[in-house]
Amino acid sequence: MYKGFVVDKELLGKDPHFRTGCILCHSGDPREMQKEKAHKGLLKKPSASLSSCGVCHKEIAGNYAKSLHFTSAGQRTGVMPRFSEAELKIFDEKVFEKSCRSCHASCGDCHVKGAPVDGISIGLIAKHKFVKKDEGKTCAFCHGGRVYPEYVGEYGGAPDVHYQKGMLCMDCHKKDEFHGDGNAYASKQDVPTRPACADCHKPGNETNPKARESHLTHADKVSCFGCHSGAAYRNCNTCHNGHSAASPGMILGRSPRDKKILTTLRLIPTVRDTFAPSGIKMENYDKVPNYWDTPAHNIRKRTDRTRRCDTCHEKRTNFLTKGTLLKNGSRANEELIFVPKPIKQ
Amino acid sequence: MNHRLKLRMILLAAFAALCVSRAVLAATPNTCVNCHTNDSLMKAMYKPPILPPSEGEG
Repeated sequence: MYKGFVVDKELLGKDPHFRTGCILCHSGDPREMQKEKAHKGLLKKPSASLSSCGVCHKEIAGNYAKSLHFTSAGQRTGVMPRFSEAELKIFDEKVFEKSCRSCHASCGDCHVKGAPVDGISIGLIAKHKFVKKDEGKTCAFCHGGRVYPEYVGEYGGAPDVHYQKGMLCMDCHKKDEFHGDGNAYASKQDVPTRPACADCHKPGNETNPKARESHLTHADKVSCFGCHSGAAYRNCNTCHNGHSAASPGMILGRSPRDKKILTTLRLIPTVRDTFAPSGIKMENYDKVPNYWDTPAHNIRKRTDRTRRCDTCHEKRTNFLTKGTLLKNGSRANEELIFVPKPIKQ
Repeated sequence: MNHRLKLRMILLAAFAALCVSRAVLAATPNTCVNCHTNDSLMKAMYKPPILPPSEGEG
């Protein structure tokens, strides 16, 4: 892993980022011969405060300070309905800044050096080159537990059809979604530049009449993922329940955000005693389910559900039932159970 | 020593001082660049991180 700290000498004369020398961003003492002395006062992540990049990239740094990748506000928004007012105060003081926000991405985490995940980092992405994008590294470092391997088909199942067509993360997720637009959103659901399937696949433009009919029948009732998620995907208990006790799975049920919609659900990692070490019992734990609607990144044009109506309407394959609900889970989970109507003869 | 010779001597001294200072500056080590662009040195100095006793990924 030492290569993660080796700088390409040729870059130093070419890239304007290096014109001001190392210490302007990193501090330290370039006259010292011993590593410990040279590294005294070293700033490992100079872009963490955004001010260093903001000298030249003022607008981006200003917007980014309010973006979800920097604020991590989405994590707080997701869990806060479980807390009483007093518990939320403890959470903000003891947990959020120290734990959740410790994962926020600095400019350098995407453009220079891979973000550390659980203490491990591959180091510099391309020998300290300032890269615009390199999704397999920059996105996959943090989103490599579920989304990225799901997309590329790394852990079984077919890869996402968009990946097979040569598309990567930033073909759908545009830079404004990451850099922000100057507004501080509470959740990714609120971000207007968030991609939607219909941005490219306009309803009514289907060439196959059966597909058009099926889309009309299920419009406003089933999400795109509900039918087009191609295979099982990882849930939190795939890894964190007795060391990979569970296999990846697909869960179909009502969206917690809009219970009229049937969609793919993913089990989330907040259990009853998650914040017990910080003295938070989660008084309102049962107000929120243990499943969130998930945009599974394993889209296929044809799936078991698009081929045959009885996969859902008779066999009810992968549908959440009382029997498959998480044990000792939130009481709100039951509200997500959806029973499809039988096909009319 | 006449005035013209004095002026020449001063200019010569100034030029010599400029050359020496540039040479000194050029010789000032930049250990950041020297070490971090040296593959074999970095390999020799690298210590693997000690992992925390937890598992998990994002």
